[in-house]
Parts: sequence; structure tokens; C-alpha cells
Amino acid sequence: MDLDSGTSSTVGARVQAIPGRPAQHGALYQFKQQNLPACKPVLTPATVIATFLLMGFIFIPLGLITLRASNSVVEIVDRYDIECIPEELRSNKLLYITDDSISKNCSRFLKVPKSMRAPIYIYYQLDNYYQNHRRYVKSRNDKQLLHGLGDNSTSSCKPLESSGDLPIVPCGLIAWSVFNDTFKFSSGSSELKVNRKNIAWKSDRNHKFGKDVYPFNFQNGPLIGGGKLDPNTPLSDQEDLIVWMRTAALPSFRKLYGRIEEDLDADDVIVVQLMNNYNAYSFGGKKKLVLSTSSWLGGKNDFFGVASLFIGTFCMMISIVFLLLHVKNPRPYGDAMYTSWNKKSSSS
Amino acid sequence: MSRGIPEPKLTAMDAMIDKLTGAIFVFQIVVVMVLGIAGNVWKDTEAKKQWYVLYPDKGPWYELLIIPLRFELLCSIMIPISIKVSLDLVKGLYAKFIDWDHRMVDLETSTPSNATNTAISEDLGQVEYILTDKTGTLTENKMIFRRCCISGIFYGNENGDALKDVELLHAVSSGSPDAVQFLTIMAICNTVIPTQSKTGDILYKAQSQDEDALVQAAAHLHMVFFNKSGNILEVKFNSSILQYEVLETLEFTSDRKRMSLVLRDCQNGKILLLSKGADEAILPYARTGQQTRNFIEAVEQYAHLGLRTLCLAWRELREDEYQEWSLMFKEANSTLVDREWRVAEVCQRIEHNLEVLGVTAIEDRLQDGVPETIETLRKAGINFWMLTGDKQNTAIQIALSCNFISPEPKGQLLSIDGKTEDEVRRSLERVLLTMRITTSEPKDVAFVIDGWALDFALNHYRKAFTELAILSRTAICCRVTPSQKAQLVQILKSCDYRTLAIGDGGNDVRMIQQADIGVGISGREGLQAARAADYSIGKFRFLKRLILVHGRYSYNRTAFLSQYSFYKSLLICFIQIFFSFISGVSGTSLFNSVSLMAYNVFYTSVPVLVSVLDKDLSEETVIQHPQILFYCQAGRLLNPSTFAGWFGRSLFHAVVVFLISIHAYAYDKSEMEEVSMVALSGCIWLQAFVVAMETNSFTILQHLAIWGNLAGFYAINWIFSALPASGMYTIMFRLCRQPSYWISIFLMTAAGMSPILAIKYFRYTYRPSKINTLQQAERLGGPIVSLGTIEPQPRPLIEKDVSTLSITQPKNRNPVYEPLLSDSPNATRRSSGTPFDFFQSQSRSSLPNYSRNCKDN
Repeated sequence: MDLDSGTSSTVGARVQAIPGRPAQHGALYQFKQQNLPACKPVLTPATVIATFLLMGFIFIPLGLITLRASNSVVEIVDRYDIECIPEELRSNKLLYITDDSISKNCSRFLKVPKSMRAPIYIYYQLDNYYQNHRRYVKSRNDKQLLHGLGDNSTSSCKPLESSGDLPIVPCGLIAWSVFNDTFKFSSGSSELKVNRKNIAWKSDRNHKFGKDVYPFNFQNGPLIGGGKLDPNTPLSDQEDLIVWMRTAALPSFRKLYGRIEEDLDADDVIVVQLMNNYNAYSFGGKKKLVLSTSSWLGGKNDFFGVASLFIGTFCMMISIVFLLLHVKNPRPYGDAMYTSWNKKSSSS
Repeated sequence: MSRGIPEPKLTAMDAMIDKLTGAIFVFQIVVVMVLGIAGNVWKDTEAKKQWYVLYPDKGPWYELLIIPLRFELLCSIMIPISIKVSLDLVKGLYAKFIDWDHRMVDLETSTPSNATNTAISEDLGQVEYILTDKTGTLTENKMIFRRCCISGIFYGNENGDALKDVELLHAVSSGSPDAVQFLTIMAICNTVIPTQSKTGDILYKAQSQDEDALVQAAAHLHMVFFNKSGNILEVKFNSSILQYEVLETLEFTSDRKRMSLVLRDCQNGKILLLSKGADEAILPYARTGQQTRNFIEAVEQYAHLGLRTLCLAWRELREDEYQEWSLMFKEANSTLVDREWRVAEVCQRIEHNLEVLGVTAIEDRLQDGVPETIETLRKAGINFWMLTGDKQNTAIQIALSCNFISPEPKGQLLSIDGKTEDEVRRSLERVLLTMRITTSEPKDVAFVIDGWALDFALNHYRKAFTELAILSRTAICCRVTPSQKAQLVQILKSCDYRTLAIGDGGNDVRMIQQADIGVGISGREGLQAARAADYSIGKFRFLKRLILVHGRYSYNRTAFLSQYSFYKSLLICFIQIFFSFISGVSGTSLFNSVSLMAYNVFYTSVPVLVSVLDKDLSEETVIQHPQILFYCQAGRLLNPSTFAGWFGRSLFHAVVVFLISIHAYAYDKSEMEEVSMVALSGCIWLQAFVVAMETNSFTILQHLAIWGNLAGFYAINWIFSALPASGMYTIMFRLCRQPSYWISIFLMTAAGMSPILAIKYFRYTYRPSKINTLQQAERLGGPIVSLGTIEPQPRPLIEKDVSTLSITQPKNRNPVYEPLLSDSPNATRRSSGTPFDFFQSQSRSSLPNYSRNCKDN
């Protein structure tokens, strides 16, 4: 905004000239007379063109900086949901995932394109998975997660509030569908150490999930959703569950699985031993494994850079167009030519 | 005067807002239906496959309704409920500003202006017709006896004050019987009550200012009416005391236009009838054989000077005549049905055969600033009608002296009159024809009509009269009754014009209540009008400020506030709708309920409330360029097309906020609460800038509200983020630490505001509206050029040749003249046999100025 060019008008000066009344001043009086000193900005060509130019000068460098940050992130994305099905079962993926007798073991080989500095974040990514579905997001009970069975009101967990007359802890669709693929990483002959602690938000572990709440009656019903939980570990330590229960707003999301706390060199080959347990086949979802470093901006995301550059160039162009318009067609303000009441006014 | 039951008034703006709300409601229903169907389809095709949602295979039929109802719940915020509250608040403030305005305080009586009706300030800015009373409204209603004519002798013509006229003093002192009788009538033929103050002065309590003036003048001429005890009136004339016993009082009504007194002269026992009244109510009943030509001339002469005339007459009654009549009068007075009419009829029986004594002329001075006010308001495109109970000539004189109508070469005054229905019809047709022809000329054409003709016109030729009303910018209606005043208002209202009626007396109450806006002058005729009115002001000249300053600002502010309210509600609703496309069309709300509530109630309504302080142009500029009011009258700032602009803006902003937040917070950051807060922050920032962009003048309060609100948003969310129990625990702290949050906000603001700034600048500079031009001139100190004519568009000058028609030399400077249209070959050809060609005329009248079309026909 170009407030700087505003002229500060103090009309209040001439008001006390009314005879027969005590001269009145003060902000309240000015307010009552609608005469508060006001700054009236004007959209002069200079300020507008300068504003756009300035925005261009801010956004183009910003775009370059953010693009650089995004490019500094090394990311390995591997889609494994198809590849992990044996060739002969690919025509019937549902059978593969629902039949417990078929081994879900699978190995993937990832080549590190560039050297990656620790910590390297391990995410699993699900596509076409609607964690934001209305039935799904609501199907949880925060009180139960924190206080356990003390509260028996699990109605918000519909349609999975109880199983066989006993309440479920943790109840609800979200917990029930917890992701249960597991990954093991090794590089060359040595196993890569994966830190699976502190992957959930600290605030969640401390204040949202109870330290003395243990899973109960979980995945005992006829319908088995996702993974099972260790009934002897309190919820506050079930970090995979906590991560999972931070529902994603988009149908395509990544969730933190763990951290590799050693550097990886370029052209290293990482062997991933995974258990392909989770059913993303029935709805055509994709499962990906993501290894990524991070920058000050977070993970790899070119959007900031591209958007900034786009807005920056747009502002630049606008300012150039206005400049040309102004040079070619200067308009003195308040000109009589434009004040004739006979001219049809085009703007509304 | 019967007041009737006033209807609650609704402003044109409220009607428009209601219409827009209706449109939004329809839009909402459509969105809900489309999304509901899409949701059900998606549910059947996709969601059934998604095992984690666990849809039951078969549900009851009403499950089909769940998704549409969910969307209805989501979209219910599309119609801003807060608009009603905000509007009521700001309207209350508009009214307070009127009450507080010290420039609208009548310093003589120190009566401030008062807005009784706090809901219709915007209408003031959209007034198209002002119907004004004359006496007490345009004039001061301070009656001073100036001249008189007694038995054909004019007094007061030389020095303009009959009280100082030596000849009159001489006539009185010499005891000329006519003069004495004249004075007696002046002194006692009234309903004045004299009271004696402690100092011995006599004070008069009069219902009408005219009577007061007459009694005062009589007292000045040594005929002192000093006591009234019961039915006995005591008058002191040159030290002799005369006593009269009042037998009957025949009261004044606006239909009868005269009052009489039947009294017994206690000196000689004679029964006398004393009458005073309007000339047409007295002169026709003069005794056969009496020459009334003198009096007619006197009345005309006085009327030319803008003086109010009353004729005084008397006669002696025989005892038996009185007795007989008295019985009838009593009977009539005690009837239950049609009493007023019966009494009038009985009065008629005795009020004849009068000996006319003379004519009094009372001056009523124009109020200060009336001509200027009328001129300014006429420049603002407001049409004036004067409705008065006075004589035609008096009215025309007053009209001329206060810029109401222009004198000869510039203006033209057409008269509609006639004694019979047929004459009135022909007169009306002729005036209408002239009017149609002359609308294409830049000429002030006005018509004048009296109550008698108006009666015919209203009852039998309503359509023609309505057309006339639309065509003419100025009209003078004389001798009209209160109910006719109200009917005239009704006619203009039926053509969808915004009417303002201003008056001061009880006879204006019905008109004031009938009009869209009633303004009462709290003047000498009591507070009856001021009480019934929506606004009461001390002087007519405050009307200028009331309309141009308060009305215009109120309109502008409400236009912004209401459209902004729709904008912000649509903005958040569009985001919800977009979100539903990426949440399986299931009706998930992106925002939590606390945020949604706070968004409408707090975050977005506080900044906009201070727009009540916004002034697009300074008061001085508006007063100098009253033409700018046209933007309000034509509803340029709030109409479906400006609303479409705001609709588009909210759609655009929703797209910007939504796309940026889902792309910036994708993948590992796509946590529901975080994305929702990013989007909400984007909305808050954008709306702050939108308010800032649309604000024309920033006072400290605006800065405080706009930027303080932004700070308040963060403060509130930090508080919520600090509560472990709330759903957004730690969210805002986390976000504020992330550079990507601030970059996202920055991107949203820039992407959302830069096109708007660009468009605004382009319009402001290269397609400026008149408001913009004046803003530029005002703020850059450039030359404020005077603006041309009132018409927003040139009227097509089709029939220039007819201008010759109107130039007919008036005889002896009578402003009332009628061009002899029927003699003109041009006119006969044009009329082509159908004098009431409404279809054609309507299209013609709507051509030059789009607001001037009658939606009634």
C-alpha cells in the first residue's frame, strides 16, 4: 500500500468557530463530528509502479533462494506397492494382500543419487488415501487416547467404538487403520541404524496420548484393519500410531517412519527389507518409500520457488506495463477533461 | 390531523441486500445439490472400495441425504449472519453522527438534529424526489402583517408596512366604520387566547401563526383583544372596552379554508357573523351586488409579492335566522356519522351573503439558505415538488425566490387548471404533451397544479398524471389537502422513486409518514411533524448536509460493508467447497468450529466496522460538487454488477489461498490442523488488505482495527495453541516458527492483492469515475474544476425545433402561461391523434436517463 504519499488533513481546525457553543476539542469530539485526522492515500503512478517493482524485486530473489533450498534436498522416492507383488499375483492384488499365507516380504534396492547428510528422514507415502474423509477424521476419541477407558463415551468413534460388547482402546477408524508396513535398511553389508524414536510430535506424546493408557480389545473384531498394537506399551510410546493419527489434509501424504542418522554417499545402494502388509490395493492407492534430507524450508518442494518467481515476474511485468502506459499516456490528475459530467462513466 | 399507522420503512439498500442474499441462497442450494449428488456418486463408486472408511454395504435410504445435509451445514456460512448485526451497529452510528453533528444544530433555538429512525440513513443518499411543504419549511413561519386592503383602499403599499402607513392610522383614528370593523375581525375572529403577564403585557396563544400576526397587528392599531373569559371576548379600542359574546365557532378546516364566528355584540345586542378565510372561500359568497373585483386584484397583487392573503368579511344575522341555524348546527355537531361533512354543510348555510371588508397580507420570510440549499440539491439531481396549502400565486412567487423554478428564459412553468373535469383533462393532456417535447431540452420545465385540478387528476387521470410526474423535475401543487400530499408521495413511490417529504406542521404528517424518508422541521407549528418524522432538523438548510454528507456517506459505507460481508463469507465457504474436492466430496470441514465462529464474529467483522469512519471525499468537496450524489441515487456502489465483482474477488482469493496452502503444505507437512491454520491465516491477511485497499481515509481507528485485528488473530490463536485440551494445541507456535508459513502468507497476500491493486489503479487512473477524479483533485491539491451539467448522459437533442414553441410573451409578468400547443402545427403532427400514448412516451422517457422509468405502467 502506498500510505506514504497520503496527505494528512486536519479539518478539525475550523470547527470551533461556531459561536454560542463552547469550543470543543479532543478526540471524542472529532470522532463525533467525523473529523478525526485522516491519512488519505492516493494511487499515484509513482507509488503503484514502485510498489509492483518492489514486489518483483522481493519475490524473484525469494523464489531463487527457495528453489535453491528445495534443490539442496536429496530425495529418493520408491514406489513399491506393485513391485512387491510376485509376478503371478499381480492380476489379483486383493488376493495377495488378504491371504495371510502369502509372504509379504519384499526387498527393494535404492541407489543414492547424491550424497545425503544425516539426518535422513524416512517417510512412507500414501497416494489416493483419504485420511480427510469426514467419516474418517471424526472417528476418534481424544479423551480416550489421553485418559483411557475412564470415559466411556466412545460414540464419536463410530463405526468402531466397540467390539464384542467391549470398548476398543484406541477406538475409531483412524487407529483401526494404522499403517503397518515395516522397513529395514542396510547398506552394503552393514545394517543402517534407523532411529524410530521421537518421530511423533512431542506435544502429542506428552499431552494427547496417555502414558498409562494401553491398547485394549484392539483389532479383535471380525474386521481387521491395519496393524496391531502392542498391548503392553502405553499409547504415548506408540509413536507410529501417534504419527498416523495426525490426519493428513490431502489425499496424498507422507508420514515419518524414522531417521537414518548416518550420512549416505553417492552411488551407495541401500537395500530395503520391507513387509508389505498394508492394503492399498483395494482402492487403487499407491505406497511409496521416501528417503529425504531436509533444508531450512523442509523437504523437497519446488512450489515456493516457482510461485515466488511467477508472482515476482508478474509484478515486474505489471509495473513495466504501467510504466509504459504512464509514459505514453500521462494523465494529469483532476483534469477538467475527465470531470465532465456528460461523459458516460464506465466504471461502477 | 389523523396520523394513520406508519409502516415500517425499508431502505432501497436493504431491499437490494435482501435480493442479493436471496441470490446467494439460491447459489448455495445449487452448490449443495451439486456437491450432494457428486458426494453420493463418489461414495458409491470410490468410498465403498476404501475399506478404512468402513461404509456399510447397505444403509437405509435416508443415508442419501447425509452428504447433501453435510454440505448444507458447510455452506450455511455462505450467507453472512453477521451482516445484520454489523449493519444495525453501523446504522445506529450513522444516526448518532446526525445527532452529534454540530453543523446541523439550529443555533437560534439550539435544537440539534435528531434521527428518530436509525435504520434508513442510506436512503438519504438515494433521494430522488423531495416533496416540501412551504410554510414553515421553506419559510420561517414568522408571520408579519405587512399590507391590507380595506374597501378598495390599499395600505402599506408605499413603505411595505401597513402598521406604519399614516393613512391607515388616520383611518383608524378617525373611526372609519369599515376600518374599525376590519380591525375587529382581525382582533377577534380567531381562536386566540390572550393571557396577561405579570408586567401587564398581553401575550397571545395562537394555534396558527397567521392569527397571531393578525391579532398583534390589530393590537398595534389600538384594537387590543385583551381578555377572553368563557364566551365573553373583551376588546379595548381607543380606551373604550367592547364586549362580545361568542355564540358559535365555525372552525377552520383545510377543506372549508375559512373560519367564522357567530357572536353577539354586547353593546347593541346584534348578532354578527365574522368570517376570515382564503379568497376563494370568501369572495364567492359575497353579498349580491358587492363588487369583489377590487379584492381579487388585491389578492393577486399580494400573491405576486409572495404574501399570504386572507379575506375578511362579515354580516349581520337576524335573530330568527340565527336561532333556526343554531338548531341545525347543534344537531349536526351531535351526529355520529359523517359529522365533519355535516357540520361543514351546515356552516355553508350561514356563510353567504357576506359583506367583504378587505384583504390582509402577511409576509412569511424565507429561511436562511433556502435558495442555496435548493440549488445545490437540484444540482445533485434531486427533483423538488412543493406542496402547499397556499394560493397559487403566492406559491409561485416563493418558488421563484428560492430557486425552485427558474425565471422566464431558462425555465417554463405550465399550469394545469380548470373548473370542470373536462377542462382539467384537456389542460393535463396539453401540459403532458409539452412536457414530452421539452424533456429533450436543457430547460427547467415545471408544472403547477391546484388542489381542485389535482383532485380530478388523481382520481380520474392517474396514469397521465403519473407520467407527468415522471417527466417533470419540478412541480408546484397549491391548495392541496394533507391527504392529497400523501397521495402525491404515493404516486412517486409507485414509480420506484425514493422520496423525501419535509414539512413542519400537522398537515404534513401524513405525507411524512407516507414518504420513504420523512423529515420534520421542529419549528413554530409544534413538534407534530418532527415527532412523526424519521429525521427532525431545525432549519431547511440542514437538509443539504443531511443528504449530501450524512446520506451519501451512509450509502457508501453500507455499500462497502454489506458487500464485504458477503465477500468474506464467500471466501471461507469457497475454500471449504474446494477442500471437499480433495476430501472425497464427503463434506469434511477444513476449519475447526472455533475458527469458523471466530472468523465471522471477530476476525472479519471488527476491521470492517470502522469503515463507518471512511470518507471517500471530504465534506467540502461533496458540497461543492453535489452531482456526485448521482452515484448513490443510481445505486452505483451496490448493485448486482458490483456484487459480481466482489463475488469474483472472493472466488479468486479462495483459489489463491487454497492452492497455495495445499501446495506449500503438501506431503510430510499436510497435517490437517496446520493446513487449516495456514488457509485461515491467508484469509485473515487477505481480508485485512482488502479492507485497507477499500478504505479511502485512514484514521487512527482504522489502523487500529485493521492491523490490531491481525495481531488479535495471532494472539487468540496463540492462546488456543497453549491449551492442551484444544484441538489446535501447539499448532500456531509450530507454524510461526516455520519459514514456510510466512512465505506462504507472503505469497498469498501478494498473489491475492496484486491483481486487485493493478485493476484498481488502472481504473482509478485510466477509467476514473467521477468520485476518483474528485479524489485525485482533492488529494493532490490540483485544481478542483467545476463540473458541468447534472445529467449523467446527454439527453438526445431530437426535437430542437420545438423550443420556439415555448417562447410566448407572458402578459404583465405573470409567470403562469401556457404555450398554445394546439395551435402549433408541430404539436398537432406529433400528437398524431393519441394524446395518451403511454407506450411511446415511456420508452422515450426512459431513454435519456435510465433511472427515470416508471415501473408502474
